[in-house]
Amino acid sequence: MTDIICPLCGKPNPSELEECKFCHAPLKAAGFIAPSDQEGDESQFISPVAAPDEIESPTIKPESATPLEQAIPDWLKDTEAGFLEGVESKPEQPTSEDISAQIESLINPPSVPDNTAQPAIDDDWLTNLLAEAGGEPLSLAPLEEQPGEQAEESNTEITEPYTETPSDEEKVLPSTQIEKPDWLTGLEAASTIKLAGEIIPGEPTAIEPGIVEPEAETGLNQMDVPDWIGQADAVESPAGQKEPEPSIAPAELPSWLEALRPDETAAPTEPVEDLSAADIVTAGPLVGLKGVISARPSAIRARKPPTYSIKLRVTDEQRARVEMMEALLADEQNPKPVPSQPILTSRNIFRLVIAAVLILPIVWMIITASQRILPPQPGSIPGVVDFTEQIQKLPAGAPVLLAFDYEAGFSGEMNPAVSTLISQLMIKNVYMTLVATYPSGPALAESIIKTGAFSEGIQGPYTNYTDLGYIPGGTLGLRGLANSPMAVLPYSLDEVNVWASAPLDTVSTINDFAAVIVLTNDPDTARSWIEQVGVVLMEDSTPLLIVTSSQAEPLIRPYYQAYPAQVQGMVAGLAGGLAYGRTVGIVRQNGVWDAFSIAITVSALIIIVGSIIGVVMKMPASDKMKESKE
Amino acid sequence: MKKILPTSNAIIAVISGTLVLLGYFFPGVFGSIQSVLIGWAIILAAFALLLGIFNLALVHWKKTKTAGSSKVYSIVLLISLFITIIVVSINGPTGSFSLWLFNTFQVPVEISLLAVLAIVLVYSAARLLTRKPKWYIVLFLVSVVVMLLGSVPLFLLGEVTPLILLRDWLAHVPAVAGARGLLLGVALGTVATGLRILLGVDRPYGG
Amino acid sequence: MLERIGQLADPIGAIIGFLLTIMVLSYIIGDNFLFRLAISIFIGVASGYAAVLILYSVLWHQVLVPLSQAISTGNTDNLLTYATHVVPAVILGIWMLTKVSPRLSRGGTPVLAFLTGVGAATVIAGAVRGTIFPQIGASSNLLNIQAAPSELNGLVVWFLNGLIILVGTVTTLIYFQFGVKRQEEGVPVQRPVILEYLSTAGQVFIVVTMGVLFTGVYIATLSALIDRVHFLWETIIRFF
Repeated sequence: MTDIICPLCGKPNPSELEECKFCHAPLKAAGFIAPSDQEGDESQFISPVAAPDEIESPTIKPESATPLEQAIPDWLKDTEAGFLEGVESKPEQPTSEDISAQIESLINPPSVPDNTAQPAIDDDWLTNLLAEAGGEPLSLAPLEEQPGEQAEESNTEITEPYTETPSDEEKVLPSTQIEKPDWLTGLEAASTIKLAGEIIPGEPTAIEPGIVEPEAETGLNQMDVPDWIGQADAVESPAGQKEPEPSIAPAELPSWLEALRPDETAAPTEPVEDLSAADIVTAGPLVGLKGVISARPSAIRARKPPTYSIKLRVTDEQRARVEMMEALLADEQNPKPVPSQPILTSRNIFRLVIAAVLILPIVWMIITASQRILPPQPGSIPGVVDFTEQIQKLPAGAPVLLAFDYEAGFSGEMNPAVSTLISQLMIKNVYMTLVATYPSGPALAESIIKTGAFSEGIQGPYTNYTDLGYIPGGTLGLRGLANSPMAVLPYSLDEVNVWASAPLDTVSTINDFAAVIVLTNDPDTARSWIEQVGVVLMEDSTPLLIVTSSQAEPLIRPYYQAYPAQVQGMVAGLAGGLAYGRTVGIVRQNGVWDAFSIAITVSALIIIVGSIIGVVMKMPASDKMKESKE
Repeated sequence: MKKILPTSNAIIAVISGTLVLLGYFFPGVFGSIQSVLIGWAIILAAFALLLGIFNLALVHWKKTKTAGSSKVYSIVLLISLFITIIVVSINGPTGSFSLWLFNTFQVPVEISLLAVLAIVLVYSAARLLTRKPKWYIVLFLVSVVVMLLGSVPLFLLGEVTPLILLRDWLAHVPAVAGARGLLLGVALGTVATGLRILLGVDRPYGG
Repeated sequence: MLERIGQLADPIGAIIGFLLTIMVLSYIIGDNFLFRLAISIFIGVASGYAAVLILYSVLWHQVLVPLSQAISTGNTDNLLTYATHVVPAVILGIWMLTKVSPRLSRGGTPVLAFLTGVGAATVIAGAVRGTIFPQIGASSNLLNIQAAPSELNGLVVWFLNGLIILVGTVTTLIYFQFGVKRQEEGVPVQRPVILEYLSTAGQVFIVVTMGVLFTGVYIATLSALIDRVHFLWETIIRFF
């Protein structure tokens, strides 16, 4: 008594059983033929990719054209017919009656009451497949059956598929060589073309020479159906078909499509794996196939998942482009050398011309020591008169706080006023107490006093002063000085405690000084003195006098012009210094004032002419812009 | 700890600032505390300046170790720095050699830098109207020209009385008005910024 | 030897000053090696001088000299003052030096916070007492009849000038007022029309003030240029 092979677990079961005694799967499903009905070892129901010498049965068609069969397109039927005609050898196939019965049962499944539950595993999938008649053909042949070249090119990242070593029980089924259909090889050709960008040899017609004619007749290399469908149609077609089907003329392919045709010159290679010894599936939907992975759980061995290469496949051209991009990015990291600009540009030439026009008259006035221009009158410079009066009011020998808070760069402008002041203070024998909130202050003070003493004809070093040095902290230092000068500056730069001896022994607060004279070029410094020290001085009406630069004068004037005035006297700039000198009878004849006069005149002319040229040159450009906009 | 430190820094700033501010308005009570705190701040300011100069030397020292043409300037700077420190330390800030260094190297370069600025300023003023002339640019240039021509007797022309009068009026009336407004604005901004620091809203010290 | 050096110092100094002046004035042509060299020398000398001056004025005179004198003379009257005014400041100063190290930088922040707080309070008080109150008082006293001149012409001029200064001061302050009322969505935000006009008037005064300031700066720099030309000529005469 022959056993029924379970379609799920593949184990033999007695024929009288309805269910498998191992896995309880239904053994007798509609459409499945038990192995005992077969005469040979070959698959009966499905004869997929068989070897060219084994396929011989024509397409089988049912006698009656059911709606499902009508849905099958003619080209599909023709393809099946042509395919089967080209086959050299045909394997032993089940009888057409059996096959038609099988297909009939598939197409017209037996009616099942609604209240009955459908078996979990049934043939609905196949009926659905046939219901879609003309859809995708089954992928019958696994990829390992392809010729070697195609397998390598399209499956480089796939490891060798699992092939189960057939056991003794499973050797019941005969092994047949499964031939790869044209449609599958066509698909492979198309896929390999997409991957590598080149035509891969291995047209299905070349691989399977036995099936050239059907492909030539039909012209549809890509869409072949499996044998079992073709055989069923071929069996039925002689009986049912009265009228000859018109042959489909081969389509005329455009040249570019022809160019995509895989090269037919490459000879196919032997399959990678020899499946001749593999078991044939005798039951289930894959009846007739060889080398099918068994559905038994034991067949699926737990093993480490295959490691796929993640190496990016790039062509040489792409690699060259990547290297170019990397070089560009690396270039961005490196600092680019600043291109050396030419010295003689139009801007530099213009600037040189202006410098020459400005400097040459100054040089001429200095060289000639010109005295054409009269020094400014004291009355014409506001603040100089008040300043002079305040200095004149200072009692002889009184301590005066003198703050050297201007930068060395402004000594050219302020030195006329400062040297005049120093000389006046020396004449009045005022005790000068020097302080500075600028680091350059003490050095400037010492230089000025030595120069002043020399110009006054004082023999030996001048000693009627003391240099208390530098007060750090800016505004903070001034506040500390206003609170207690002794605490902030206990010793002079000569390391002498000047507060312990005359005349500074009478000074305890800043108001004890006869006057506070600030020499500064910075408006912010002057403002700090006014805000921190001037407020304290105003309490006792101690005068705050300022000698400043032209640049700070506009911002100190509001303090001077306030009522009550916060600054009691102010001398500003070169003009103010010369005016103050003229007030006290000191007139410097060195061509500086003439040079100053001509320089101011030339500067005004340069600004006027340059502005006119700029406007005139701008006008045509703006006209052009307006025209272009219109 | 990360939250405690910034808060404690802000507390230090607020308390110290408040004590100093109270010393202005209540000198009898907080005057001495104010004097002490300001005395500390003056000494700290000196330390801060020394720190800045040390950092300058450190930066240029590191530059000398890098490759490039700019390290020549750093080497020259460091050499002049160390020579000056040695000479002034030995001779004193007001010694003859110190004054010679000051008058020979520092004064000429500073004055010359200012002299170069004169060329740049007149060049910029001459090119001001090459851009799109707007009314305030024209008014600015007119003010500059009037101030220049009215500040000195012109060469070959002498004193031009209308120009001098106009210049005096500009300097004493509109300029004073604008300057007073600017000073008030600066003072108000200073007060606002200072109050933000004293209230702990702004923490420029990095708290 | 020192006398000889002293005699030569002046002409050598003049020659060096002459060369440095030329090197800096070469910037008129364009940035060059000589200009940068001169600037490097200047920064080195200025920084070195400032460093020694600070050490002398503060650390030596305020910290070490009182201590050494107290030790040498035995006079401890001012020791309490020294202990309260100087010692904590020195400790805070050394603490602040941790700012040099990036790792310890955060440790010096409390000292900077103290310095910032004290500085902020000082400038607030100075701005209020030294600028805001006196200048507002000065603006209000512009039209103080007690300060008016007696003659009519002078009175009219005085009044007009005072009015212009007052209006100019107010409109200048209005120009810097950028606050606006919140509007509904889609409505353009802008100041009231009267403020716009007053702001424009303030802009006029600001532009004139900027012109005057620019002139002052230019005159200062021109004075420096004249001084340098004069120095170069004096040096040439001296040696040739």
